[in-house]
Amino acid sequence: MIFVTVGAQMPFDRLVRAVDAWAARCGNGGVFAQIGRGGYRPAHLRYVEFLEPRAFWTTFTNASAIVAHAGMGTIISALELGKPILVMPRRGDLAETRNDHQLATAQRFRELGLVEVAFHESELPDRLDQLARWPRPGLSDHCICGRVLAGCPHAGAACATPHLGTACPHLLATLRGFVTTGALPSPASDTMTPRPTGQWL
Amino acid sequence: MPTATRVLAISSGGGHWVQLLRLRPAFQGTLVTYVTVNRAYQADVPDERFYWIVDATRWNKLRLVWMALQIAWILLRVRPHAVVSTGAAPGYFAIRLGKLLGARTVWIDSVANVEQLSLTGQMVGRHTDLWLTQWPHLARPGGPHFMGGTL
Repeated sequence: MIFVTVGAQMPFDRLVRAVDAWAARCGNGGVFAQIGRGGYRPAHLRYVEFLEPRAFWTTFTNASAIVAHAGMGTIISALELGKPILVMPRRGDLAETRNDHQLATAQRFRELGLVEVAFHESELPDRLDQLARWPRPGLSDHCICGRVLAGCPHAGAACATPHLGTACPHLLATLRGFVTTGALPSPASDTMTPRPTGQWL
Repeated sequence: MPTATRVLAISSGGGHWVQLLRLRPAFQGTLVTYVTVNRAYQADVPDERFYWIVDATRWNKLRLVWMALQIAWILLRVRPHAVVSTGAAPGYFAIRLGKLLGARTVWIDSVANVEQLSLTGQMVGRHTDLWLTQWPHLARPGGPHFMGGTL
């Protein structure tokens, strides 16, 4: 099942229409979409407007691939679960989101070999036809600064969304120290352990 | 008996919320209250205090005012020692208002902001005690600083 999601905040009709047109041509019944409240209702695939966290996570886990806006939450979830993901950035000039940050996110994460991208809806059919060629990465167990990331301490607890990882331990320690004591990190702790190029994430 | 630190962890939905959750180990041992814009997200933090607020962006001025009022009310109820946010608008208000109540404040700009800091991240910089970015190339001597990422 290909899971299409536009995120919780607003619809993304340009994406849903394009996937709907592709599904009509391919007769692909294995597509399910979360279209957002008030979103365009597709004619050739099953859809809901919104999914609660538990249902969202179950759907995500069962999907073979994800098609989405270039939202950070969706991208992180796909990487956590090792799902190949195709994103189309929302555009600020079309009032699909507040600015063009999704474009920058999509470009950077594509450069890092983590996501497939369709920059325009005209590219979507080709990308969808070539699903087998999308990158299949996962989240690294190292932060960009070089430190190892720990697993989620809540594994096994009754969270709706089992968070498979946590933040960089240096960030966590800095945050914890400041939150509990008000101690600010020294300027020296700004530096990071250099990693060989191309090896982070 | 020393009082446990009270933390207000606040964010918008989507990726902001996911990144806030990845910071949870930092709050162990504190009394943390989560605030976000989607009531359904309470399922992610079932054992913690949770408030939900209206979602608003800078194009809905009235809703922003309402959001700010809701956040002021929550701050007066919770009286946090520290306010932590991964953005966006809710974090901005919580930091500005929280400061007035004597809280120490943290802003962690979203990892989605790759080319430059978010607009709210730029605005909040001179008002927040710990001002962070998740991309080393965006760090500057006077802030924001890079201390590691959420992923």
